[in-house]
Amino acid sequence: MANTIDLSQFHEVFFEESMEGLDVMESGLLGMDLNSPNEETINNVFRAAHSIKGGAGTFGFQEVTDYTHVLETLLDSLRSGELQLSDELIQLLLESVDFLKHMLQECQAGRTVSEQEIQVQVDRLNSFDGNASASNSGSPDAEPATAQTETPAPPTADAPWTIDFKTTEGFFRTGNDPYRILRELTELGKVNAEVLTDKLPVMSQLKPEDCHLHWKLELSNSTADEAEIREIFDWVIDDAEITISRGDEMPVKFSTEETRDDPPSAPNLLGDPAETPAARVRKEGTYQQQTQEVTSIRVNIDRVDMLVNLVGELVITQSMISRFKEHEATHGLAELIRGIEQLEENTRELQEHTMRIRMLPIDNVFQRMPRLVRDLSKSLDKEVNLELRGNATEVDKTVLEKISDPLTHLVRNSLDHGIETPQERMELGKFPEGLVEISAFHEGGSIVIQVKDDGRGLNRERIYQKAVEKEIIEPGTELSDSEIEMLVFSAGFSTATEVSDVSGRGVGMDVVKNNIEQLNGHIEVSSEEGAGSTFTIKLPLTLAIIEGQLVRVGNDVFIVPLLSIVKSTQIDDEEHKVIGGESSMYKLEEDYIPIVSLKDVYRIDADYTNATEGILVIVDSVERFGILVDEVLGQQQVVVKSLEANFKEIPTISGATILGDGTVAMILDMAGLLRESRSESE
Amino acid sequence: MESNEQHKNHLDQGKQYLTFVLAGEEYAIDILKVQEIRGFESTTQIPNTPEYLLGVINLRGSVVPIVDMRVRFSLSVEDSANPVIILVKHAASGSERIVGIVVDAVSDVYSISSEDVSKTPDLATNVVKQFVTGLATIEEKMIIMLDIDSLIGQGVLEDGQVISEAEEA
Repeated sequence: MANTIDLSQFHEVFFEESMEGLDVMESGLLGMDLNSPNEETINNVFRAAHSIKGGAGTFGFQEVTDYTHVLETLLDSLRSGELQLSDELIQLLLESVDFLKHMLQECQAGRTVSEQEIQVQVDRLNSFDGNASASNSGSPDAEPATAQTETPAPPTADAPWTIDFKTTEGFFRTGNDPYRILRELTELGKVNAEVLTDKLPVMSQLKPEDCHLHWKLELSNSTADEAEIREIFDWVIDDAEITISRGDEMPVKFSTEETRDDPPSAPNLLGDPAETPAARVRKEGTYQQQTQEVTSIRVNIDRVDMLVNLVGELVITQSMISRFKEHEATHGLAELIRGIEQLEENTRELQEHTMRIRMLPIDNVFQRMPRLVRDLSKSLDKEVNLELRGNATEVDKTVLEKISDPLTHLVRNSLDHGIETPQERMELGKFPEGLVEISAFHEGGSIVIQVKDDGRGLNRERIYQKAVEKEIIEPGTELSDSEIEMLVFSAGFSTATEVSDVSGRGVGMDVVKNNIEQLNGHIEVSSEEGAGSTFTIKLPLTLAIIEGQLVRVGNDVFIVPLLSIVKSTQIDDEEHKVIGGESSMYKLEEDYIPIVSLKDVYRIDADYTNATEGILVIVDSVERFGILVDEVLGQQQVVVKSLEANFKEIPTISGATILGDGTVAMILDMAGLLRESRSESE
Repeated sequence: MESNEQHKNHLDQGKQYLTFVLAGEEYAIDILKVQEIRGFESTTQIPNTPEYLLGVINLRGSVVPIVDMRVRFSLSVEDSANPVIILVKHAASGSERIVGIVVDAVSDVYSISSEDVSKTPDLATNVVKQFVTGLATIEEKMIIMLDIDSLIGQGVLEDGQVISEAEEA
């Protein structure tokens, strides 16, 4: 490269874009209908592979380029109809997408994939090619120029090539450099370039970022064939209209259909096997694409977080100021109060919009599901249809990252335990294909994700037995249906009779539940025997700001996430039982739930001495329990601050926040609190 | 502070140290570790942490833990008229943390070269010893040289629960 720009600074973008490209490939492959493959989908897959190849070439990841080239060749035979789409082919392509991902990840980590490994994969691709289609050798470098449809053009080697190179206005915006293209062209022969300035606007309307120039190029003394020329322009075809013609021939527009009918092969003067145009030419209908307006930008997440933090500060400052609305000092200052109210509104709006920057459609996670379901149903010999709903529902980036594993697990669980085998289903009078439906939607201030299947549902009797066997509950414990169902989330619980590699190592649903609780979320299951089960996850929209309930114990103020609160109540003697003089229980409807006294767990002073003097905040976490406090204060949005940033993780505390008066308050971690209080009383 | 004026002539030698007073003794810490000095303010307790951990304060939006040095060194907590919080920087596992220490008063800035520092006498046995790198004599005053990094690392961040690599990653 002639320039001295350090390309490594663009590596991150390349990897990101390549990963997106791989996602496109994967979803394209999964969406393909074997009987009537959609041409556009194949093209999309091809295009994605092609850009990865191009990018890898630019950034010097040679092995990625080489491998993608082989893959591209295969895709191309598929596109040209030389290969028939088959289940095996899709499987192979999916696996190669996986391998490509692996290679890219290794490159990203600064490692390389061993040559043997690559060779094995390359051979797999090539051999498939060979079996399925005799007309295509599949070898990337030695494509024989014998595609049947080709009739070599009359050898007019001396006739110069004429190339019309019409750029679009946005030509520069994608980083194209016409000079580079011209320079490359000179390597093929003598180039005569004529600049066409007819589209040049008057000075006052000239935008320096737009490309107004066009070129008429004449390439003479060249042995190059059209494919070679076209290859040079391969990078810019999205942003330019290119017409290549030779001598008196009718100009050949840059598009596959035409080249296929119109033999482009130049005489092969060097005796080298020329590459079949079929393997080279990209079929995109037409190569003149309208420039897409840039509708999104890539911004470093740190910058966004900085903004989110600052807005968080603003929310705090605003609540500081708002306290003065009721203050004597502002009496009669109607305008000031109006100003404060306006500030409140603006802050809230600003906060909402800033938070939205971090929001991504849940589709990012949903995308992986078709593949998962496909692979799993194959290995489990089940037939499953997957339906995804609400792909566009937006979630905070952090939530998105952390929801992926639990969701994957739930889907696995549904396929493994929920959906029956086709035979069983037939016998039960159901369709042989099971249905798994994953949907996401907003509800109030939270996002709800549901995984629903029409399988056998939860077997409550079996769950109960199992829970007794595993000593999760005492034999004879009376439990409601929903309580029995919730037992599947207990640690050490797994109903799979056979341990498969899919699920059933006993580290299943409790981990799911834990993960979701770490996100301040909540999971429930409802099920009807024989008709299927539904897992419902409820999560806060964002982790940076939560709705909090302020509670007071003595002089300390704590925050309980509002999402986990069931209700707050005063206790009377009837409902309060002390067991063994130590642990106290509260009678909630038909159950007894443990009472956690913050006074005892934290060894702090409190106003109450007896549970009946305090207020019980009943929360739903790993299980239901009550937190005993002196007073329930207001509810407000709190900005979550990490304690780890300057300190360390504290069990029972999920973070801290800054209240309106500038003091710090701790946000309680429900699951941790219950754990701590249990170990305390032991 | 005339004596200090004289001393400034020697500033070219040695590193600069901030000294503070704690129960009548003067301690020195590397000035480059000091971020800022603040007046004392009330803290929010963190449950189930050692007694010397007073709690956390809100430092312009971030939550900063505060260590009471008097309790840490098992000195008597006499009510100092104006206790002061020194915010020190602590580099741990790649990220910089800010931790505040409560002292009776901030004293002075000295330039101390390694020749001025003598080894800690062996008789010191209390908790102080493991964080003391030596004793320096400046203007006939004895100054205790503190290794603030290990003090914060061992006493604050690693107490009880170890911050494992996994959690950091």
